[in-house]
Amino acid sequence: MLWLGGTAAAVLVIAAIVWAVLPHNPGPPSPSVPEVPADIPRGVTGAGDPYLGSPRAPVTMDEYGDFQCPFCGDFARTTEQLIISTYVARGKVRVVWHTMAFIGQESVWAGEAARCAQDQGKFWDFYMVLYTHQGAENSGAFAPKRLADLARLAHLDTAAFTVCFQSHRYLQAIRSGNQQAAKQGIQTTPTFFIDGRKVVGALPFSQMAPLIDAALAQHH
Amino acid sequence: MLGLALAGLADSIYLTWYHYDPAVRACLVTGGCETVNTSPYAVIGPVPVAAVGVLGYLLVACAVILRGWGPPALRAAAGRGVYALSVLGTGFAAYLTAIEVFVIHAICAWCVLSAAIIAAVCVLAVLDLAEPSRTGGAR
Repeated sequence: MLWLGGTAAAVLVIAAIVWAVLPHNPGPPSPSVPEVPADIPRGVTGAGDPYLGSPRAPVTMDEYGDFQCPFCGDFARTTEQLIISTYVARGKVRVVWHTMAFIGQESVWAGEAARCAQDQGKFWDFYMVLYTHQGAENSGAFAPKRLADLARLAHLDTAAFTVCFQSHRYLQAIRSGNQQAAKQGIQTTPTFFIDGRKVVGALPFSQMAPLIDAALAQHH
Repeated sequence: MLGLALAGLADSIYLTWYHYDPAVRACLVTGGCETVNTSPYAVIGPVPVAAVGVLGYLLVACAVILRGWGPPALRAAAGRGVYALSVLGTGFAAYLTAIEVFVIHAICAWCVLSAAIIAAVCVLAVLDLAEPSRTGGAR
């Protein structure tokens, strides 16, 4: 018994030391939000989905994501930055976003908020702000008050944003988007369709680029 | 004890593979996001925590083998080695479990399994050391 008691105490002491030495606070939000170049065309498709890139771009990359999905965030902060600078900014690819809010209530709120940002022509700025301020699932990172703070960070008209968000005018659109994604058999986020070719998961740029190049080659 | 160490090793190898495999970097509508394995706490610098587990379980397995089947002169030291490694491992696992519960607010089943395995190794190592007459207790 003495051995077991002493060992339990040693275990707790070690856990406490590791807790003290290694980081365990979520920390402040990431200050570096990737900027989407202002000269890249952006708008809304006929179905109401936001897009980035020239409408005349030969290749379309449809992106299905949830703002709480950590892999989607990782993709947006890394691979997507390279896709934007390499293909979208050069008029080769147009990215079309589709909200698939399934991780919880905060996914729905973030989806609605992004559509409100879209009303002000700042969807992609808000998109980057959301993906650089993710937290644990449904832990308050995308609670309504926090979303208002993030809207300010994205330089939105916060009064107009708040009116839009509180009206829940896009709630039905988010629900419809979920149903549409389910009908298409999409079971994961992020999921992409590069000119219709399905790609699942947050692949690195080294794997996405050949798929985009192959789609571009079809148009030559 | 050796069986537990090998089970822990297999678990850690799976978690390390999962950490690096881009094909599984997605959230499933039916199965969540494996939030724990993608959190900043899943790495220490550039090293995945799971890889630390692989190293730890390898050392434990070696020490258990020496304790049970090594030269007699080394067996007592190996027993103390198993004990020290398992206490360290259990302490580290307790820290990681606390992070899951209190910081990330998500549980990784394979991580909990690893924590349970190393805690079980620790209890067996204590029982082994507390019985000085045993020399082949590692089996």
